[in-house]
Amino acid sequence: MNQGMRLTGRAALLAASALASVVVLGPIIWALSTSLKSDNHIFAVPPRLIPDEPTLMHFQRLVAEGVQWSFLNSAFYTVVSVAFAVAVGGTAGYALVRYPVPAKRALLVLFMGVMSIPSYALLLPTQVIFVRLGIFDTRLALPILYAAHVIPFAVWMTRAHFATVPRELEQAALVDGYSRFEAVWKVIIPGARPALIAAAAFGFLYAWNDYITATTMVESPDLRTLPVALIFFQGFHGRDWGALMAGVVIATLPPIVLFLVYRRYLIGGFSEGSVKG
Amino acid sequence: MTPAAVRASRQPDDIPQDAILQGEIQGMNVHSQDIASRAVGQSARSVRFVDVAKRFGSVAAVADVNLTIAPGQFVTLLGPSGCGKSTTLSMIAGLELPSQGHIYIGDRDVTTVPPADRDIAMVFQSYALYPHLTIFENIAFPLRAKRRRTTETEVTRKVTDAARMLGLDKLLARFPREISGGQRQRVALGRAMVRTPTIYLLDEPLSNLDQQLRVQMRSELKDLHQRLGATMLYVTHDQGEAMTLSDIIAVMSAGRIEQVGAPRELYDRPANLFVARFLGEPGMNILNGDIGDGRLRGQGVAIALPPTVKAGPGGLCAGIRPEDLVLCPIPEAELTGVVRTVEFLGSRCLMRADIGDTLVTAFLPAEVTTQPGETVGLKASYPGRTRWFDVASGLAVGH
Amino acid sequence: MVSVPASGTTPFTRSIEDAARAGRRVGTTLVGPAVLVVIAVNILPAFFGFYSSLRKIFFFGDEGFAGLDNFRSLFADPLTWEAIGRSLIFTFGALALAVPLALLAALAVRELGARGRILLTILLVPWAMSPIVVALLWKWILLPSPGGLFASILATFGMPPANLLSNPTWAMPTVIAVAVWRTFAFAAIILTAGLGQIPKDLYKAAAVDGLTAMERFSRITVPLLAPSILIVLSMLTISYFNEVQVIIGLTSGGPIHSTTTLAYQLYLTGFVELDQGRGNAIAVVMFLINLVLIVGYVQLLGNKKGGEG
Repeated sequence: MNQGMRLTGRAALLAASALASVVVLGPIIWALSTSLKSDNHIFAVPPRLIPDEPTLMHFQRLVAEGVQWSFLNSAFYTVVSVAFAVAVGGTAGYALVRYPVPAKRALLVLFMGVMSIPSYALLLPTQVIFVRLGIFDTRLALPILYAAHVIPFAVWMTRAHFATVPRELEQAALVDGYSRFEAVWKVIIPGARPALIAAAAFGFLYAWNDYITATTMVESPDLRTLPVALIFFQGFHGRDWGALMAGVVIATLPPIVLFLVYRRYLIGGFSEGSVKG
Repeated sequence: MTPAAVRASRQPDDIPQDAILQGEIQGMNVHSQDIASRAVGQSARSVRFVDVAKRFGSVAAVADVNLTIAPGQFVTLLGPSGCGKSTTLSMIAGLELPSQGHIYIGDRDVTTVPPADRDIAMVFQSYALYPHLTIFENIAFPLRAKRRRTTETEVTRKVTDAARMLGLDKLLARFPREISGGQRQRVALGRAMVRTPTIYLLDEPLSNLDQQLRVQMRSELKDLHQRLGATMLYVTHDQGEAMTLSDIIAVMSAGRIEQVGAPRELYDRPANLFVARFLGEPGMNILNGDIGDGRLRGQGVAIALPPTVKAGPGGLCAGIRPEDLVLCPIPEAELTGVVRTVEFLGSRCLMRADIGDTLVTAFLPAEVTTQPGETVGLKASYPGRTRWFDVASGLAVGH
Repeated sequence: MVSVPASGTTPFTRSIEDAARAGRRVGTTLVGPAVLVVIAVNILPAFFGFYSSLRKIFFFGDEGFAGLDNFRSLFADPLTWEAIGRSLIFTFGALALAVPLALLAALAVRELGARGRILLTILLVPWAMSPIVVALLWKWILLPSPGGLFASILATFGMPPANLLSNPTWAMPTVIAVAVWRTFAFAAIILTAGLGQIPKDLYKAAAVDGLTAMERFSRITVPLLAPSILIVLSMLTISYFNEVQVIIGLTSGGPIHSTTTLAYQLYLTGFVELDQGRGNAIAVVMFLINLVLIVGYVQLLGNKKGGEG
């Protein structure tokens, strides 16, 4: 009887998990399906999941509107800010573990505290400052803000990791004839890959997916990010759902692929952080 | 090359000058014979500490160390944990900056020179093998440093030579996590050997191995030292390792060097009470009492003072090694007390007896039938082996 | 014969003081850039925001000191209080939905073993998406015309299409549901990690002691998971209280202000109406509410940890 109950429980669990997966993935798959249907099939009743005559016309439509430039802008801002944030944050995380730094505790509190300040509440004063400094509506505005948001996370994730690397490892490299920089590059960085990847993936998701910073700090059409361009497109062609869903697909594909490839590091980074407090 | 010689000096106010001189001469005598037949490696260098101290905040980890190590010697820094021996080693390696003083390798002042420019090799307690590199690459790592500019054929030759010497030939393609503790230990040694450094620094390299392997690696290390003729500086808290491996031992305690000398010299003639108690398992029995009538007298203690020993104002105490004590009739006894335990060790027995309020240990023949609770008399089997110390300063007197 | 110089330093050697100073400088140099960027971009604007909230600033033009005028007019406006109320409804409504879902997901992930990792990965996919893109996507799903996915599902149950997003009663729950759809699995990561910390032996012991599955859950899982639940609560509270992108994308605060939270009000006042003095006053109010929430959770979390340690 106990055995039977366990089997029923197992079946219920699998069924519930399957249902949850459908609720979670269904809308995304539906968007993909819509983006591949021609206009006269989009509103078909009853709805069909598999497009009858798949077409790329909506994607072509987006290209005709120049959305690919916004895609490239997003990619540029993301890559620049993530590279900068991981380099600067990782360096700081390393120094906080290995070097005597004045006011170390205060700096840790600073990085930790900044992580819990909602960046959204700072956008308005930042906008005013950027206008006065002439950074508003330039290519610099978004990389600076994205990097500044990601740096504390990068510090935190890499610091926790560097602390677990035995000091002797780099001491051995120093004795073996390498400079401090070479020792870090050849011995510490290879071991720190998980933390660096977690920080970089987190930064990518943050920067690529942002809308509110981009829409408030950049105005020129040729500086727009992909999410901003999609919202503008919606404003002009609100009923062109095929093209809008093509935009959703384009905007979603990079972060989902990245997430699937690096999920281990991302999940690991966040679960370690929470368990260690 | 002349035979290696040891020079050790201390601050004059720490220890009587004549005691040091005697220690040096003894150390030289013992060792000139051992070392005479051994070739000193071409690249071996001396190491010299001049007034070196290291403070962490207000804590003195190492205080006023003066020590000279001759090329080709195997020197051990021996002491309890936290005595500053590892810090001393780190300062030679350049991993720690001294707070004062100078460190010379050969003729060169290396006090502030980066580790990479010192041409030393170090074996760490944790081995510090690079987890992302194969055994081959681990051993080759020092050769791949830019400053060494080794050709690929040379790297292969040197790594395979070292691997063959250490019995690692078949493991070169593996990663550190795939080999045993003893093998990792050898890889760490191999990584040190490939570049023929001027000095080997070994920081408790055997302490992570199990007992059997430790004894085996100990003799391999000794063998290696003989073959390489290199200067080796070894740090350990294990006096067995120190005794068996070293030409010279420097005993450290609380950041200071207590005594420097050949193992036998330290064991037979400890310069002070710390060394007397620290060396030997168990350490020297120290017996207290008052001087009167040419004797040291205390509860259960009556030991005649040799003519060379003069009592100072601080009072004296006597030191006798457990193996130097024998049972004797109570009237002849130097020590009289009640047996607490007798442990049978196979080849002999270890007896513990309360002499007054001192617990005295003695190694006795295996046949003894003494029982706990019995009152026994003990005396030194050979009176000349009893050591005398000034109670106030803790320093040895009279020899 | 090795000769050793009698005393003194070889020329061209650095002194110990110089070397020590250089060592200290390296640390500062390496931490410096990160600290500077964080202070310049995160701390200075916060102070500038406080300063601006006390001034009359409109369309980037500073028209002078305004004292507490911005706050006075803000709190005199009933819409502000309504927005605060809606922020709380949004925040705690989303929490009430997300935390139980995350807990269920975490339990399922644990029960499923190796397949649990796949489930967690699937559930996390929306978290990798942009909030504004998620809003766009759900707008299409919820479209109240015959071809819409939601309308079609309703139709199979014989119900007419419902326009959730333009219905003042249903708009808020819908926005909450979409926000939770995107983020609940993130909370499941932390709860899964927390569950993993509970020793399996405890469950065996409890089973031997005769506790039912329900009792095991309430007496072992919940108390031992409490620290993780508190972490989740604090992270999600801050994230939901400041959520604005999903609202911009789905409803733009409507219909009839029914989804205008304080966060959206800040967007409207500061970025659309460009009343930056008043906008900063809202930001200050939001900052203070955030602070109260964070301090509250830290207190709760600290007590919990102290009690167990």
